[in-house]
Amino acid sequence: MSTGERRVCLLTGASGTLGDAFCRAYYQDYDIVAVCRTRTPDTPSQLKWYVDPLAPKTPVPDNESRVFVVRADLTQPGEVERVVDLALARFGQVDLLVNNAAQVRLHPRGIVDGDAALEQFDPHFALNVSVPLRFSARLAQRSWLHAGDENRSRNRNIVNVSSISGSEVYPGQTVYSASKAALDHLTRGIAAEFAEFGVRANAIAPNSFPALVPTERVAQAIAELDASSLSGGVFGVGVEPEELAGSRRVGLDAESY
Amino acid sequence: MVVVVVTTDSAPQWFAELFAHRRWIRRIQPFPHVYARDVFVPEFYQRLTDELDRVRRERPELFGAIAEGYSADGVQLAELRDGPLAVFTSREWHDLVAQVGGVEATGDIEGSVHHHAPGSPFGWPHNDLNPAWFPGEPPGPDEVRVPDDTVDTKTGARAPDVVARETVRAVAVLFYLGNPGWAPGDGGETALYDHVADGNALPSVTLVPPLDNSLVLFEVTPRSWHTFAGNNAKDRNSVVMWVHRTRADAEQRWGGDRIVHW
Repeated sequence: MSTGERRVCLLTGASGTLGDAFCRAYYQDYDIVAVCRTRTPDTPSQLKWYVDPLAPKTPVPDNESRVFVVRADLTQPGEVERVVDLALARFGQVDLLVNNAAQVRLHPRGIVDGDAALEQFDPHFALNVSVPLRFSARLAQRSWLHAGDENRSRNRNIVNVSSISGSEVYPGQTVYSASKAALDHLTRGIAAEFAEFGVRANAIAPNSFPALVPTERVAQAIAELDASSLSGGVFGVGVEPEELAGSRRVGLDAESY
Repeated sequence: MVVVVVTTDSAPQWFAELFAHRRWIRRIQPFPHVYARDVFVPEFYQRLTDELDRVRRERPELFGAIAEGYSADGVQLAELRDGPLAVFTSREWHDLVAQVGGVEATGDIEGSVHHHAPGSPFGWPHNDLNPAWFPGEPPGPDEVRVPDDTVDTKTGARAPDVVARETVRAVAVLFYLGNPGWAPGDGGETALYDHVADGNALPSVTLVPPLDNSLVLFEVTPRSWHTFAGNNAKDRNSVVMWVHRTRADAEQRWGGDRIVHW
């Protein structure tokens, strides 16, 4: 069960660059269900924890906030449902769903250069669109749908990790961009539908991280959206206004649009 | 035999000040082990590497083959007790290793500084659950015993009038030093296996990189399978050492047939 004090976050792609940064920054603020395929986030969990070499039997305070790691290939049948069940069994609730896992394969010579782009369509839309849809639907069906008052009091919400590529055209990113554009609009649709039972939904659309924007800042944007009352938006992180055509210009902080 | 239960909660200040931090990581996969980066404060770590350089330069005759068929040469820690590398044969270090490893240790320490030349081959999975013979009566609570020339560490062979005791390796430590600039792809990691029993499926392997001033530590069990991963692009140096438990303790814990004789 939850500690009752911390919010419960279900995070996919938890061992990737952003997922790991989010876990390291917020594992003492949230109870995190960290969904990983292979690696694990570099935080205390049921798989690893800290020991004081000079007093190994003495409790280390950092270990009191252990991330709960669940390994899953989310594109396989039944895996999203298994993860939702495990999260609810472990903590009894989910206050923040972060759909961060993503398929990224670029095709620098275009979609007509062989069959790679055609073969990559299904994997991109499966992980980048279908999995967030399935998580949102299953979590709503199993926990949120008839708990409007609790959802509102807990300020429950979804943050989908999109990309500036969802609104801008970049060479070689056609398939990836199309999946992120779909995710952006899926987010808007979920926000409209889930308002009935008091669950918000937003997306962040960061610039390239960590190359152009610090990963920690992207992680911070997730936490800021969680703490906000916003819904139905796609918010750039580290993006100049003119780079984010078609998306709302709403500031999460002074440098976000 | 008297086994002294030790605690490092009261480690002397000089010893505690050698450590850069007190957050080592206990991991359960592929088998339970402890991993730490930046083990010692930079000044002391530098003294360790300077000492390794000095020994290699001034006393090259100390470097010999570690074992038949094994690709490393090295120097016994028992030969290095007159400088900073003596920390690894100190009672304080022994007690820390035993406590972190969760065993009651005997005060006996065996180990070497290992050197793998570039291009060394992959080793073979082994669990380290081996016997080790030490000279003399059991060491006192403030003492350690290291191998000497009077007793064969692996077999116990000795003159009739020499007293010796059989122990079994209990906690293994690999401390990496003298590998500046190691980067992924340079090879020379330590491979930890989840199993080696199923010939039909490749075991999953965790590779521990030989990053300077880092260590991996684990209780020696029948399933602590590991090896040198080989294919090192540069020289690869480490301190490899064990603290020990009594033979009776090992037999009670693992069964005598699980102990791997040389």
